[in-house]
Amino acid sequence: MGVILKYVVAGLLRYWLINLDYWQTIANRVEIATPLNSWKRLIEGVYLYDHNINPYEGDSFHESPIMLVFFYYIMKKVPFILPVLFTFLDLLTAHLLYKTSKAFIRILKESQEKQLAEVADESKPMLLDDAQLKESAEYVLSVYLFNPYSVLNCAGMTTTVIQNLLVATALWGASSGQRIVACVFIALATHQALYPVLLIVPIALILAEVNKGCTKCSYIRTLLVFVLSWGFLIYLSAYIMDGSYKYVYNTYGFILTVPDLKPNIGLFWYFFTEMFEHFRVLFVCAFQINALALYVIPLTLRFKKDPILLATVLIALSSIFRSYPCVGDVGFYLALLPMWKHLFTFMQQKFIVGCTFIITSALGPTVWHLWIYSGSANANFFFGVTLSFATAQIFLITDLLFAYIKREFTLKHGSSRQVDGKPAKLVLR
Amino acid sequence: MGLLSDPDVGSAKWVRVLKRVHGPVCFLCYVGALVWFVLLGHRDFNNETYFSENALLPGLVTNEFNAEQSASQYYNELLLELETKYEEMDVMPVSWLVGMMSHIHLEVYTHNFTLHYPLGRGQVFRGTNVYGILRAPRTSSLEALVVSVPYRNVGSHQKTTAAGIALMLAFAKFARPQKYWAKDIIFLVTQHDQLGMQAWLEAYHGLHNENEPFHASLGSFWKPGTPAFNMESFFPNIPLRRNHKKALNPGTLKGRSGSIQAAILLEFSTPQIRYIEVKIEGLNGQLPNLDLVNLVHKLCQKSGIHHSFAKSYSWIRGRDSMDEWKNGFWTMFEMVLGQIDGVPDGNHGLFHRFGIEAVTLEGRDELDPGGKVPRVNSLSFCNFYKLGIALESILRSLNNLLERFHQSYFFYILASTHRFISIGQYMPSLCLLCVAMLIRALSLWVTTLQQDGDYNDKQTKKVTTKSSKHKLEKAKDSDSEEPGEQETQEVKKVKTPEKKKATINMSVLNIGVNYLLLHLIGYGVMNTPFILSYYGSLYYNKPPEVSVYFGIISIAVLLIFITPFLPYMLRKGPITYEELSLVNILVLTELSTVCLSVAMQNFSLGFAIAVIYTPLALMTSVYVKGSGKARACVQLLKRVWCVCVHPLVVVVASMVAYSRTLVADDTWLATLGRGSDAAMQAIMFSVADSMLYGNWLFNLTTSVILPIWLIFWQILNIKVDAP
Repeated sequence: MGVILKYVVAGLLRYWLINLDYWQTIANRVEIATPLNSWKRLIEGVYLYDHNINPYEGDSFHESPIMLVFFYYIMKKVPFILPVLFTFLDLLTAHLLYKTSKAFIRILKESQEKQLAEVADESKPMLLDDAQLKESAEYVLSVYLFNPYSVLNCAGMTTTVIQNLLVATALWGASSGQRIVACVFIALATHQALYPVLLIVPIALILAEVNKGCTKCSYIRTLLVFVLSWGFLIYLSAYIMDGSYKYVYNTYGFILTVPDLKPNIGLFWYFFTEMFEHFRVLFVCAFQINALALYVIPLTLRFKKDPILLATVLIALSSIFRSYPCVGDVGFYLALLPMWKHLFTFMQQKFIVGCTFIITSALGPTVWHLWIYSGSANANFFFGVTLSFATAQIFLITDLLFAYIKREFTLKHGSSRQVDGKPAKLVLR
Repeated sequence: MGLLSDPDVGSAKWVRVLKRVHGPVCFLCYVGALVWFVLLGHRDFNNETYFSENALLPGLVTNEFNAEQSASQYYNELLLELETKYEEMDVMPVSWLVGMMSHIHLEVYTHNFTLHYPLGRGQVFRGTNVYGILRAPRTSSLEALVVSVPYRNVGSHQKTTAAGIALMLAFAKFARPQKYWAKDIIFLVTQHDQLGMQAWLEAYHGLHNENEPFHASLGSFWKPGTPAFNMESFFPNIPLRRNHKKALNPGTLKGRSGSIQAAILLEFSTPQIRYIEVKIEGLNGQLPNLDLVNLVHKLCQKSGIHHSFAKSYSWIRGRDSMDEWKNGFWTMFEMVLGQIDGVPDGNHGLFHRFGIEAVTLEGRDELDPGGKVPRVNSLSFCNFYKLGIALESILRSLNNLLERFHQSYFFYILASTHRFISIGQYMPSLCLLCVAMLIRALSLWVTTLQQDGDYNDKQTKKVTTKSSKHKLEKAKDSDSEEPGEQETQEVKKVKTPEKKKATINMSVLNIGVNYLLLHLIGYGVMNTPFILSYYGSLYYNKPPEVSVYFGIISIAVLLIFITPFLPYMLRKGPITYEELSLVNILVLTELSTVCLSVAMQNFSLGFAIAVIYTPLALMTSVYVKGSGKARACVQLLKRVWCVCVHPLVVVVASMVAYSRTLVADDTWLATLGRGSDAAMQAIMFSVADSMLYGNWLFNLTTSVILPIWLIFWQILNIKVDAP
């Protein structure tokens, strides 16, 4: 009953916001809508497509052709269901996350039982019990449904709503061991926003863990299905665009080379406006490697045993460092955090991170107003706020990882942190 | 990374230190902030003003203004015209102005606007602005400067602006044949003071505030006639929304020029003024670029006109550094006081919102309402020639601008006509106040956590006994609102209590709903004036200010009595210590965030809020049942103090103090009555300003400050069991 009430309240809230007179204000906020996902650009693309103009020839539309066709048919046939559709899709995302977290928690439980032998006696009370685990799934649901970041994202009708749905479905598929679903949906998400490609690593690990058997075969199979479906989607998109692959420059190319420097909550725009043009390629590569490749291998090696944590952290890191982040991405990974409720005890920066989130969320729009409307502040103010927002997120992720390590250590060795009789220091490595 | 991965960061040592010293530290922060603020008036803490924008080249041209004769002529003609034709009427001599402007060969247009007063019975005001454009011979009307005079008729309580109009016309006559103008100059006479200015600016920028609903964005994909969601259709009889979009109908302009770079407003009643007061404060405390302010002061000085800013007079020099400090402080203080309400002190204030730098030059003589001006009688009188020279130099300097004002400072406080305090210098005093609140929040955070059992890993040593298992659960649960804190209260709203176990003494649901509800109440209060004035005039036949004032007072009293019981209504069991502490932490964080955000826009308002509410925020603590008589007395005192800083009480008290300074020799009762009347007017003005001009003061006070106050009030009034 309580759960249904949550869905109803959250749904009504989103639907009401979409139908508000201030909807345009919400939908055009830079924090919510980026050149990649904004509703305005989607409409523009569909309009061009409707008039038989290739939307990828201009510089306004950067969604994948599959989305283009999807929204083209909806807008042609049933435009009035769009608010309901977006609300429904967001609620569906929440539901899938709820399901996923339940399944993940089952996996956590199993792995805990496996390691039971290694746990020190005095740390036994720290083990998770069923009630706690059950609770955290509820928290995942609540946080996704009522987090202002997710709510605003849905109210702004950005395509990030769809992307969150795709990623959530992929995670759900992985957690319930359905390889095809997981791979196809992660391929869809990758096709749309590229960065979810990272998630194939944790998904392969999770699938191998859930579908018991030959691990290596499982990895290969997952990878194969993913590559095949991604390739198929690329082909399908070209088929939609009459066999032309030009759209790639305006979708993947747009994400990778960051030509549009409209401010957003990310770190790219300011850096690339300030920089000399001839260093651009170098720094684009550096930034994209940071977002795409840098963390995958070390984190995978360290957290191989816990692919779910790996998935959470990779989603978070890619939303911090991606070229066009928005609050919808932030809301999505924040919703995954309650799964690690048992780590919160070990986290140290909660207060700082919490305060920074609140303060930057309030200051960001303020300095934006001062910069754009009053003309009295400048870009540095806004960038300063987004930078501290990103720093807070990084603190949060690092803190989470470190808390995991501390808990692992404490489970194994008890809470006295002594090595050879001397106080030892734990280091995140 | 060391900061992140060092386990000693959370060690118990600094937690103990923090718990012990946070009180004195917070107090020191508060005192430090005030001391810092007072120090800002001193020479060593502020700077001499200087020009950042080299393109201005102030005072480099040879002045050629020679139209003082025509200025006197215009002045006399205008006075005659007003006396003979317009003495009784509240209309502007439009035909005379149009005639004169056409005579100078300006492009003359008139502009009509209408105001449907949003409160009360919906009166309708109409007005007309007249403007003439001098097209620049050297460019194609891409940029413009504005010279404007608000028209005030003879019967109004304010001084007329006849000399200002005459000066403007004479200057237009002089400037018309000159070849050096690179920017158009718009000569504008507005009616109804700020209203006309606002209407003209809105019309000039084609501002239509129509917020479009979702389906409008679909364009041709939306078929007309498809049902759309409409809130009003559910409540057909209640006027829910203030239709302030329709309140001011700015009409349309027939002629336009380019983007306006700067505006100079003139308020001169006679040419025989003693000195010029430069007014800069704009809507919501926004200020013009410091370069423009400098320019005006500098060129007044160069033209031999005495000038002043907020009790800092160019002809007065401090005897010693102490004297200078005192003067600097009072100038600064007056500017801050003027900025708090966010009401512009002249028509220039409305330009700032459009990113246009503007100042008002007001001519003053010795009979000024602002108080006694030292040695004013020894000053020589000004005349049209000097004023014309000053205006010419200012406009020719602005004419040199290559790009918009973007250098120099936008956030500053002036300590005298030639000294300023930049944002980097005044922000520390506000930050200290916010830091005090955050330190208090942090200490509450660690205290609450420690009482739960394990704050950090060192204390997990205790987790060996069976009983500590419960403690751990508690701790984990208290941690669980950590994401809640990040994601604000809505997250907590639906966390149903059924799933909580008996051992857990924290219900995130209840406090979350309570927190959210109070903010919704604040939002509701923000929207009441329209309904109050509507029903006030419908049933009691009262003017809107009376119904709004007494309506808001009764709402405030009602809220004071209801809100302490609100949390009990939402729950079955008693409220626990942890819950209330958490609310306290949240509200402290919220208050400091609000102060910071507001101060970014309007430092004075943010600082005033912080100064008034920081003591309350620091002294608010959760009261545990049975803590002894002394604690109970202290708690009572805290409650009394809390009532004293209720937003409404603050408004009335400040108005009483203000009327006391105006009329000092009055009985206290009379002062009280006068103050109450002034408060009534003040509230009404702030409501009307928020509807017409977009002043944020009323909205901020009701929708943010009031809920915060209510939460403090709740915390002070709820008794909880010892943890």
